[in-house]
Amino acid sequence: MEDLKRIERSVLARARRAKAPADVAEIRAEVLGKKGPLGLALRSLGELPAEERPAAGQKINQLKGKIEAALDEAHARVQANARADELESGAQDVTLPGRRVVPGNPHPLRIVERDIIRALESLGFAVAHGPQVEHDWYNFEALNFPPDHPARDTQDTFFVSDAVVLRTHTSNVQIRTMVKGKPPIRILAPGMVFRHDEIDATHTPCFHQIEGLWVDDKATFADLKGVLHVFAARLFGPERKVRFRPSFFPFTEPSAEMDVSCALCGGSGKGGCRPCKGTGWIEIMGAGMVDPAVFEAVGYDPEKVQGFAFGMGLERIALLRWGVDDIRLFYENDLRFLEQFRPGDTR
Amino acid sequence: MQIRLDWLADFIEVPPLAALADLLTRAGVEVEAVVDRAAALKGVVVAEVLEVAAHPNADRLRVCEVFDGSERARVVCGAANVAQGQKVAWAKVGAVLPAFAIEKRAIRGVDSAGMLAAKAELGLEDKSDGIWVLPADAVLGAPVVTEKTLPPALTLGITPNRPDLLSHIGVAREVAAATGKRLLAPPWRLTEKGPDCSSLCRVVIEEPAGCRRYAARVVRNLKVGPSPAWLKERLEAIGQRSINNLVDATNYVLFETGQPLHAFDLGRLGVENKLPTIKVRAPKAGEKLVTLDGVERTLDADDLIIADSQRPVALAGIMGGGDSEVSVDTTAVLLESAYFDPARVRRGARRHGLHTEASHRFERGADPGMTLKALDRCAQLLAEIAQGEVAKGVVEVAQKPEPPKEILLRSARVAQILGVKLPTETVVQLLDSLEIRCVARNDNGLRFQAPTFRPDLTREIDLIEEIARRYGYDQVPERLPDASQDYAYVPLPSTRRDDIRQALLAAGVSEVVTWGFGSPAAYEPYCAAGAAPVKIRNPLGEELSALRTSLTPGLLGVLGHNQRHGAESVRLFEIGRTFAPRQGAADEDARDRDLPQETLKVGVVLWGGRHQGRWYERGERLDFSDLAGVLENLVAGAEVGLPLVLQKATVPRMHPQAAAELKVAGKAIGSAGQLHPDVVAAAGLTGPVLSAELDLDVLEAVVAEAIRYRSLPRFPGTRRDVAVVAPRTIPAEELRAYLAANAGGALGPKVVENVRVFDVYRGKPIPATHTSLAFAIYYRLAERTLTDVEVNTAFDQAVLGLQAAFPVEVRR
Ligand SMILES: [Zn+2]
Repeated sequence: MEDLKRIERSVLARARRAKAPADVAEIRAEVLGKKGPLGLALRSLGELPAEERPAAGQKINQLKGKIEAALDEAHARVQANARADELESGAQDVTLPGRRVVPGNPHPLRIVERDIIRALESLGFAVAHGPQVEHDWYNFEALNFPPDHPARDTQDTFFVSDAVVLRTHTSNVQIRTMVKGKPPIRILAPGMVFRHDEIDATHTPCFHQIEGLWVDDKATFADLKGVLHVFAARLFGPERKVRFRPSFFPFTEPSAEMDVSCALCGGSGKGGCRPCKGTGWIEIMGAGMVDPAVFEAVGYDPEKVQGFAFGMGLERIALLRWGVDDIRLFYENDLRFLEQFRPGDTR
Repeated sequence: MQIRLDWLADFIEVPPLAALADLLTRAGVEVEAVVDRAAALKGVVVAEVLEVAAHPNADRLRVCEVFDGSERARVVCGAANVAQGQKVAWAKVGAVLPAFAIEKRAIRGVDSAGMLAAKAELGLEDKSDGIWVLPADAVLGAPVVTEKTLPPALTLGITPNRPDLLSHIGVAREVAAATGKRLLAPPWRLTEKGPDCSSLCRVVIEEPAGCRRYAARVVRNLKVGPSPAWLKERLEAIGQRSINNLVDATNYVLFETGQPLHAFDLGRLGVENKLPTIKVRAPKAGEKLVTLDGVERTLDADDLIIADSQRPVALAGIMGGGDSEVSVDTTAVLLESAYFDPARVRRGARRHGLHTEASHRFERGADPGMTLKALDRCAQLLAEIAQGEVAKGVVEVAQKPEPPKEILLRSARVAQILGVKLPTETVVQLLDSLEIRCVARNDNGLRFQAPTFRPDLTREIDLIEEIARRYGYDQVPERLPDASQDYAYVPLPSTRRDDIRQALLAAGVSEVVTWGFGSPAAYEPYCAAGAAPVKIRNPLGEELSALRTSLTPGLLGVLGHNQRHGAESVRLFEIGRTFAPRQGAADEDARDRDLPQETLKVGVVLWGGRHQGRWYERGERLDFSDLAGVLENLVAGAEVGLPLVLQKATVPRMHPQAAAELKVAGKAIGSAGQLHPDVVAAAGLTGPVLSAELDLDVLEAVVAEAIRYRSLPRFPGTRRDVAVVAPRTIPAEELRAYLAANAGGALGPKVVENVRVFDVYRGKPIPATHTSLAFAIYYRLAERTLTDVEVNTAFDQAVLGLQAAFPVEVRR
């Protein structure tokens, strides 16, 4: 039985030294296998007197249980150590920028266009498009700009031929939509327009407008004011006031300009406020009731249909919104400029 | 239009400046600028120079003791003309001069409490010689300029429909309408003297379509000389140069009444029937006229001219001729006041590239009611300021005046358009304030007559606008229109263009916007064979004279800009129209037949590091596969339900071995590739540059395949891999397609669920002419599990077949 003590000591010591699950498995096979010390001990039981056999057998089995428990414990220990090592070696630098496709930068003019469309879509407007190079009739005549009328002076025009111009506004889409369809009409027409302007910080010969047209049998000037006020509140914030003042456009009557109160001075105009030139108001867009002459031009009966139109320059809204000081930046497309409209993504 | 407030005050009681500006704004008269120099200069006061001493540190500077009646101070002055006892303009600390604000500061070591100003420094003249020495009786401490000595002025933006506002009297009328004050009648008294005007000149209108009315007066025994100070000042204050009393008088009356006038030297007008003669007529062939600006003009048959007995003497309503111009020797003038046809004047002015104060007003419509009044006013002025004798009467040729037009305003119409119901009396009053008189009423409504100075009022809607304007736009209530009956008519708009935009942004490509026109040379390589770009007839310059035929040149320009500014990775797209000449179909709308063909395109350009220089880039550069990936995402984003197909092709200006035609649903939608190195070099770019351009009109028109649900497989599938070494000339897609069609062997293609390229390798030990390609074949049958034997047999057969069909070697 001295043997058993020795076996116990040596096996338990080996189990304690085990480093890997394989070590434990090796000890287990060696010690508990048929040819292992315990197996030999069990086999040698036959050499004992019969009356001693049960007690000796019990001792062997006890030792076996003890060894198994020690080996299980050793196994758990090495397993845990191995997992700990594995975790240690799997350390990640969580501060590294993620591996990804970095999204592209939207163009500021498209952001403005999208926001304007979103502000108005839910009121029933849908986007429409028309040609950028347009027949004089759609760009001018049907919009009540007769030939030889001074109103044409307000729209310096590029000509392709006598009858074909680069559209000076998106209002041609009004005419095309009305000619093709019938009321009710509710469209938003965004797009590039052209004016024969010298290039400077506030003028470019190509720029963008968005135009709205609402035609049914009952829309009034009061409705126009309501729609544009909702629009202004959505685009600029509900705290901004709006003002309508008379103006002139050949294709609307009554015609109006809509101003919103200046965000910088809160509408006070105090201190020679620059954006509003001290007036407290910022001009946003032109608008008005569709002129009966326009309805006549497209074959509608102005006694039966009525409606309103409005339009604004995207560049102007973008300049105001972000404080951009040179319109040419929108066309230079310097990535360092474009990136500014998707802030917080510099990692 | 510049309006000087003291001038305006000749005709109406003028409200305070801010109230006036507000009132005009609300009336639709844009106030572009308020010029109030007196208010700006209120910190510049009259002071006496008590003492002048030398400056201790500078020979040319003086140290002056000045006193403004309450404050005594020391001011350093550099002007040579400063002297003790003078009254001077002391710009005190805090004063704001046109160019700068006055601060307390030391000049060469001596503190100076402001400065002694020259007139030029106050913006009162262009150039000054020394400081401004004021009259001895100037009151100490008083501002040197006051509203009285320098009245404020307004710069107004007048819309083309309101020619009546292009004068002081016109603006006064608008103020009267808004304030309810009466217009003042200035005491103009014309004294006539001598013979009848008709015995001194004659007027013939040979072109009545161009001139409804022509009135002339003769003023004799004039003394040409400088204008009196008050007149000079008023003209200068509105930006007009004073020339002499004769010219100034006609100018003055133009800005006062809005009626352009012209003075001909009576002695230089050719005689017919014994009298100096004015003829309003069309030019004869070959006639020429040297206008006042010294330009010889060949006259067009459509021009309207004023001629004497023989030759043209003026472009009617636009500019006079040099020959009949008044000069210092002039002693008698024929004054012209007329009504010229607006369109005729406009055509002539444009034809000759002339835009004058006169043509500006005639084009918009002069006031026929002002023709004679303005003529009388000018004659009276000439009598006053040039000692002229105004001959008796007027020589006038006029068509019978049209009876004043009556405009019907139906009672219900105002509310129908404006959305606010106004009592009839209110409507009448509002219009009456604008001199639009109600002349009749009946059940239909009201009849109104517009004043002669409002040519813009001819229709009911014109009156409704006037009502709204006078009622106040702000008073009209706000409402939201009721569209609830109509929603069903409005189709849901297509979002495909936005979806494509979002897909490209998500794929890492930035959106750019460039102009729709540019250099013809840049576009010519991007035209269809035999076609040239559409040209602009009046471009801003040759390099901006062609409509773009492609988005690529613009994108390459933006790429170049960003490369030059240090970008390391550039990915760009633009969505925009391109233009091409077009022969319209005969059945097309006549107006559309003339228009160029417009195509909506999307262009993409990629260059540089694959991951924008991020830590995982490891030197990888964007290549064709990146471009293909972007385009695949573009098409996926369009949700057409069909894949993008790339086919190797030869594309102009592209790398011969790295370019593809693009197809969706069997339709060609564009091309993509790596730009040819020669093109990159010619454009001054750094390569390699990936570029693609797709036709969005075609893509937008592709009808999305309807999606049908398929039940999920119930039986397991299995995968077999095969790797081959293939010549680079064989596209992977050909091998893949072969396997997809044949990998099923005897079982047929239906057992092949999918075939995918899962590895592409170039490099050792594969020869440089070859590529190693590995394909994964996914086998599955919907109704049962395939056995290993079945699959292996089919697979082995397919691999043998592949080797037989292509010069490839299977890697084991
Ligand atoms: Zn402000």
